[in-house]
Amino acid sequence: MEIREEYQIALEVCPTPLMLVSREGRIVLSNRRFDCLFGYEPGELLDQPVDILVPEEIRAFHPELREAFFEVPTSRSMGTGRDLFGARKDGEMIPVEIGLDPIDQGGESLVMVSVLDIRQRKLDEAKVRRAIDAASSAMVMINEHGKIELVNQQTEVMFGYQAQDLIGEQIEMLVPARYRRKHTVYRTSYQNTRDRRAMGRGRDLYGLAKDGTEFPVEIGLTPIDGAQGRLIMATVIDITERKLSESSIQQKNDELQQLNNDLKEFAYSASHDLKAPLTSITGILTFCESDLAAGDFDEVRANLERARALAERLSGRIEAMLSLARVDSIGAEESDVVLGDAVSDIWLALKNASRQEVVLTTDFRHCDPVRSVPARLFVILENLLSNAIKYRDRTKPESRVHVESWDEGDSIYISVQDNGIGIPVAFHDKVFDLFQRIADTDKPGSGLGLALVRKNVLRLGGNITVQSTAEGTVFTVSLPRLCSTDEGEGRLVEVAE
Amino acid sequence: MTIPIVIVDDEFADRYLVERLVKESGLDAKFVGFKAGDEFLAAIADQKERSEKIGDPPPQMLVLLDIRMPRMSGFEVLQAIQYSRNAQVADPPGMTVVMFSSSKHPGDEAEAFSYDFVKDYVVKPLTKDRFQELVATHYI
Repeated sequence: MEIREEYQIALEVCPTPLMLVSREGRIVLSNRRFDCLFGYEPGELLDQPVDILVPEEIRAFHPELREAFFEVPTSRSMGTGRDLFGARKDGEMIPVEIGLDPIDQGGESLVMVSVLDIRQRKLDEAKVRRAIDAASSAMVMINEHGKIELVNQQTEVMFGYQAQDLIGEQIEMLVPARYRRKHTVYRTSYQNTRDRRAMGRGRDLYGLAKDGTEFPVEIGLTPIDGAQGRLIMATVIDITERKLSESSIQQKNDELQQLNNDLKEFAYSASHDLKAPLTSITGILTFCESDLAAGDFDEVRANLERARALAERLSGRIEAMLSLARVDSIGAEESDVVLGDAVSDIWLALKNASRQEVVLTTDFRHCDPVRSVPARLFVILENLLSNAIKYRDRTKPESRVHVESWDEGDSIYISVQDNGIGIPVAFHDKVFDLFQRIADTDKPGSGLGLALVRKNVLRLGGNITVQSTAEGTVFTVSLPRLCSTDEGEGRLVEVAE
Repeated sequence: MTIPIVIVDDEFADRYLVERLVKESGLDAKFVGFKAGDEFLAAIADQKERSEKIGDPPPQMLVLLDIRMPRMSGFEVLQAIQYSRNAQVADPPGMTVVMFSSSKHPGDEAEAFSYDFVKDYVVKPLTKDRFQELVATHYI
């Protein structure tokens, strides 16, 4: 055959596996490289139907595709966008790339088929693929229009999508809706700089998963320029854990800061408030010595009485400071408290002898029981009630204390109102501070009662406010309701002696 | 000239101690006690009360000022005095202020001496010797 003689030599010197195929699909010519690639002896393929080199699943409709080529014969590569395989004699399928070039040989249409063995390239691609899938961060490659071109396995894990749901979609589908419009602008302007950097420095970034959850992320941007255009690789790290541990460290820091402040305050107040009675006692005892020497026993007696009172006050202060220090070690054991019972128990147990001179009325409109840490709730109520007695106004015909409670939102409110001497407005901010005493009473308070109340209220996650006029004072405590109960009936309880 | 020796202290025992020191010192001095800073300020601001308790015209007084007191701390009293001096309230009475506290905290000391009318800092209890030294330093 003429054709064969004409092309044989040229084909043999060409480094590419080649064959020449007739319109009927017969192999007219193949070079050794071609035969070798498909596992045939030299010349064994001659006159064989080309379809034997095609994978079985394609074989049935391959003649049709072949015919279509000859109808519009142009030089092109076969099967654009698909992975092509060639069938070797031994049945092995090998990945290939195929080029088709029509040849007109004396009025007969032929096609020159060049086949590239891409096994090594496929292996290399698989290696790269495994490498990007092994990355612990999500990698998303987008083109210059913001369409996703490639994602790794971690992207699927992090965002909950399958790769095929993402490829070809706008990158904004992974961005929370409220940031999308801006993101498009940022992305477009990034195309101008195309520098390698972290995204949105100084801003908090969030990713949007398929199930609608958002999570904080850190994103690195790397431009990749190549034949496929101006691509961008975004490396996404889920920083949920880090944020959590950061905020827990922050919280611990704040607590430590608070403890440190408490300690400083303690050291300061110990140097003043605890030492003060002792220095007074020292001074008094010095006079006692000289009075004893002078025989002024009445003065000695009076001074010893003063020294004793000072010692008692000091002991009271130390006791109060210890309770304040113990606030931190009170456990968090919650239980149900019936507020009315608690108030009457505390009232009856108050050691203040003047309790009998004060009338207690109550109006509980909250729903019992109140879920709380009883140890804390009792300290709060005890101090507020005892203050109401201590700072009663003796010029008024009757001293009253009124305890009220109600539910509002998710909180229970408890107010303790008295008609006592009141606290001038200027001191409302100070009343809760350590060792702040406002009134000149015969028996000064420790200056710690309200500090103790506030510390316990804060530990329960609540709040306390004070309102006061010459008519009296109202302390209102709000505590978060730990569990809601059904609407209870309001009741009025009179606590009698 | 009788020196008014003023103590501003909420602790009765401390006022009593100073009163006895004044009495037993044999100085030509008179003791004036206030149990709170606001009472002291009110007294020196009130013409009538001032001439009654301190003297008229008010002689230079020696003021022993406690720090931890109800309502107003000693520092707030100093602030108020400074304020009335800045505001040029008519005829601010002359005074030498001595801080009078149970402890000498470095921060407290620095704050006290930031006022030019604070001349000394006494750690309680005030002894006879220290009292005489005070008077000698600031009056002789």
